[in-house]
Amino acid sequence: VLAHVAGLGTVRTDSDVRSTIGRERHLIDVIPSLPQVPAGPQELSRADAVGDLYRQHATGLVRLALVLVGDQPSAEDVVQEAFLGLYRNWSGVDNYGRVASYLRVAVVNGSRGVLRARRRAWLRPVRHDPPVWSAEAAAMAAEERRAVLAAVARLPQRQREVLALRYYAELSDAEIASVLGVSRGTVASTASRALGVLGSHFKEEP
Amino acid sequence: VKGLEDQLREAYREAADTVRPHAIGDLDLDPGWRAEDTSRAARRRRRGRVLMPVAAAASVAAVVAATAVVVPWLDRGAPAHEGRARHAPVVASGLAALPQYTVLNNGNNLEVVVTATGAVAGRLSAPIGQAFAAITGTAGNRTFLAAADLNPQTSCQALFYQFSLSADGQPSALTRLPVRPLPALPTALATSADGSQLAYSVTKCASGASGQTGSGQPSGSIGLINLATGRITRQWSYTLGEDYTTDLSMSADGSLLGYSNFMNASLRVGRVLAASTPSGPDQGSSRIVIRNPNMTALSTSGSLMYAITGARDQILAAYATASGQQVKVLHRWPAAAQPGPLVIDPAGGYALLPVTATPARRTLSPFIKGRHCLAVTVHNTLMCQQTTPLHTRFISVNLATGTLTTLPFSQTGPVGWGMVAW
Repeated sequence: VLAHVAGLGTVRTDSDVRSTIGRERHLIDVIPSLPQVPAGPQELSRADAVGDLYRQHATGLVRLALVLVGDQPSAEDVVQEAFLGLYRNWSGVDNYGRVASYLRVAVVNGSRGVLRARRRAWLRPVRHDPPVWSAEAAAMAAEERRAVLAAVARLPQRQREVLALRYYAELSDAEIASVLGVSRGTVASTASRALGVLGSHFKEEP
Repeated sequence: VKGLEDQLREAYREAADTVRPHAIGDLDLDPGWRAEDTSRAARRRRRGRVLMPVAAAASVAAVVAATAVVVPWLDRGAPAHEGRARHAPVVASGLAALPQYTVLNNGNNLEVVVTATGAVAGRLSAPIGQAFAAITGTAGNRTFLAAADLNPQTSCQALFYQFSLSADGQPSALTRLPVRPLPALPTALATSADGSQLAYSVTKCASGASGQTGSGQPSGSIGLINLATGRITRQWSYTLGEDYTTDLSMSADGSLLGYSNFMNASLRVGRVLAASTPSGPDQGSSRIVIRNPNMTALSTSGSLMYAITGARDQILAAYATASGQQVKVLHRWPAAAQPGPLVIDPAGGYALLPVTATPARRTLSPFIKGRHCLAVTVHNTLMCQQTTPLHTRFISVNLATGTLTTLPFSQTGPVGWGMVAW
C-alpha cells in the first residue's frame, strides 16, 4: 500500500510487520496492529495522527538516521521527510503496523539520498555538520567507539546499512533483507564482508 | 567477531545517545517551498555563524504582515464557543491577581520575571555541565523545584534542586535535594502545594544503567519523591517503549497526578493517577480522563483536568477527572498559534500558557541587502532568505471566566516543555 509513498519508488513494505516490530522495539516501540484507522467521532485528523506518530517515534528514527548519515541535523531532515511522505499519502494507510515499517524504510532510503547528495559534491557542495564520531564533533567521549564508527564510515554503503540495521536496530537478516530489498543471502554475505574488513582493520580475525 | 560485534553495538549506542529526545525539532507538515540548502540541517549550520549583513525589504514586510495577523489574536479574547461573547482586552490591573513572579527556563539559566511588569528580578545559572529540564513552583510563589540533566553524551543523570525567591524576587543559591541522581533524562516535574511531594517523569538514556532503550522494556517512568526523606516512594513505569510525558501535574494535596502520554501508537490520552497507587506499569495504575489532548494539567483540587485539544483550532477546556465529561470550554486558539505546557496557578485561579505564533517561517526576496538576510541560491538565482524568528509569548487564562491576558514578557524561540513555572 505504501510502496509508492513520497515518490520513494524503492520503498518496500514488510510482509510480516509483527515480527519486524518485535525486533526493532528500541527504534520503534510496540505498535499494535490495528485493523484500520479509527473511525467515527474519535477519528484522528491526518495531521493529528502523523503528529502523534512523530512525537512517539521521532527519537528512535532520528537515532537510526544519525548512525547512517553521521550528524543530527541531517538525520532530522531525513526523518522529517519520511513523515512528510507519510502525511502526504496518509489516505493509503490502512494499518498502523505498516506505518512503522514504512517509516523505517523511508529513513534508510532518505539517509541513502543524503549520502548520495554529499558524494555529488563536485556538482554542488552540500555542507553538513561533522559526523558525531569525528574528533571535530567532540560528541562521543570514547575514542575506541569513535574509531569503530569512523572505520564503518569507510565501508561501502550497503555494508554500512547492513551493519547499522543488524547491530543498532537489531534486526534479523530476513528483516534487513526486507528493508534493503535484497536477499537474505546477500545480507549475510554483506555483513560477513563488512566484519571481515573491520576485523582486519582492528587486527581481529573474522 | 563476537568482540567486534559488541564493539559495534556499543559504538552505535553511544552515537545514538548523542540525540537528545527533547532536542529534536517539531514536525513541520507545511514546509512550503523547499529550495536548495534550506533544510533543517542548513538552518542549524547557520545558527551561530555570521549572517550576511543585508536586508530584505520584502521579507521584512512579509514578517510584519504575518505578525500583524497572529499577534493581535494574542491580545484579544476569543469566543470560547459559539454564542459566547468575546472577552474584552484585559487591562494591566488584571495582572495583579496573578502570581507575583514567573520563572522562565531556557536551559542554561532560570530567569525570574515580575509577572505584572515583565521586569527581570533575578537569574540563576545551571550548575556547570548541566541544563535545566523542568521547573515547578509551590504555593506562595516563593519556592521552586527544578530538574537538571547532565550532558547525556558523556553521562546520563537527572538531578533535583530547590531554590527560593526573596521578597524582591532575588533567587537563592540552588540547593541539591536529598535525592540520589537518577540514571535518566528528566522530562517533567510537579509538586504538591507544600512542596513535600515531588513527582517527576524521566526517560532513560539509551546507554543508561538499564541498558539500551526499549527492547521491550519500559524506557522511563513517573516517580514520586517524599522530600522529607529523599526517598522515592512510588515508580510507575511507562507501558510503551520510548514513551514519556512532558506535562506532569499534581493536585495541591499531592494525592493525584495528572499527565498525558500514549495509550498506543496513535492515541494520546490524559490520565489521572492516585499517588497512593502501588508502583507498577502506568497504564494499569492510572485512569483515562480525556482522549487526544495536546497538553493537560490538573486543577489544584484535582477534581478537574484542564486540557488543550485539537489540531487546527486548539481548545482549552476543563474536564471532570471523575467522569471525563467536559465541564467548560475556556478558550479557543487559532491554527497559527502553538500552545506549550499548561501551568496552573498554585492558588487555582489562573492557567499560564506559553504560545508560539508561527506565521510564515521562511520568506524569499530578490533584494539582497539589509540585516538578517541569508543569501541562498534558488534555481541558480541568488535570493535573500529570512526566517521569521519564532517568538513565544505568555498568556494567562482566568479559569473561572476564560478571560485571556497577554503577559508583558516573551522569549525568543519556540515553546518547549518545562519552560515556565508559577
